[in-house]
Amino acid sequence: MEQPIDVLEMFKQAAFEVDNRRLPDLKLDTLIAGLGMDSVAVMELVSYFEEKLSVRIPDEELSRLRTVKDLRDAIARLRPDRQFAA
Amino acid sequence: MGSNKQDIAVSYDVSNEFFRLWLDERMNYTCGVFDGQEISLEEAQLNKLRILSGFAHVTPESTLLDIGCGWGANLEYQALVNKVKAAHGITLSEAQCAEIRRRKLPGVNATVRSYLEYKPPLKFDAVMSICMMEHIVSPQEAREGKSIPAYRNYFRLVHEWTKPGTYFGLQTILRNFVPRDRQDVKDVGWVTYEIFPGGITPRLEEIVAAVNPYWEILEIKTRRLDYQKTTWHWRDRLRRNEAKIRAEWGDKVFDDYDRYLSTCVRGFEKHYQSLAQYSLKRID
Repeated sequence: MEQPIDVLEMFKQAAFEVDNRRLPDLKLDTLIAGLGMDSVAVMELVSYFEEKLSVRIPDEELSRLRTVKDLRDAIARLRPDRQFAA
Repeated sequence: MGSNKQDIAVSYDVSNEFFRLWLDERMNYTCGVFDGQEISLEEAQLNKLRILSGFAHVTPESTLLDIGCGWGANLEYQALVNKVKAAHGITLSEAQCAEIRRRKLPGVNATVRSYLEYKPPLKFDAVMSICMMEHIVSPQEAREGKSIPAYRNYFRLVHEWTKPGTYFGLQTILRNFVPRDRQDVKDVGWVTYEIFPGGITPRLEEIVAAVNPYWEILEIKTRRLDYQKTTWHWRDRLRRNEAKIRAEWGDKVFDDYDRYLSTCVRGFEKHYQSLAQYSLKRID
């Protein structure tokens, strides 16, 4: 049985790797736009998830990702075979 | 909304002489049409103007509007090849307008004006707009879902400025999909924000939605590889003038434009971007 995917922890790791940014207080309802990352860094962050989880979020959904939870839900729709940490 | 006059100056006012070094002799700064043939950039640009003139049903009786007319390559073609009755151009670039006036083309006038503030002196019966729509919406506005209303407002205005039965020859770059390769994300983002600030390329489905209820799409032709070849030629000419550019405009200008054009060549190759030509007919 694979471990549930912890999007919150992955997000923190991705933010550090792509933007050297530590986000200890990150929550699922945190607004991505409020993190101070520019749009290019956010796109890199999305790429990080896509690479790690072998998914491709459709471009038209990218502009609708407001919170970390939105990102988790978008990935969950693409990976119904996996469990996600709450 | 979209690129303002200061943004446009960043994109087009480096120096007319700088752009003249690496564009074709008429200074078309948009995709030419090679159609897979081994022809020169100059011939490809004439092909493009001939095709779009056909899409706009231009005749010697036409009174034509060119929205985002650049340095006047199309206005020159309309005046000297199609011999139109009159051709009006609007641009937000002072340097481009100065170049058009320098050419002293018969029946041609150009104005520095945003399409949002343009008050046409008469109703036109032919319209062309070659890669101007990329300046209508900013990346932030695109993310906020404002693209289609902004494009629709543009099509509404052009409808207001024209006579019944008018045809519209339109060309736009297309944003096909966002790159995922990290370096490509950085490069495409850099071009968007540093070379063409304030603008973003439209998606095909946005154009298809936004033309209604003002214009009927009669034809769409995509030309991704033509734009790859065009940007390859531009970069080749830029590099052949490297020493002169570095000496006159500095290392940063050469390095920035080399990076920008290399990103374009790769972006068209990898389907991040494409190009579309449209023939539209006014819905009366």
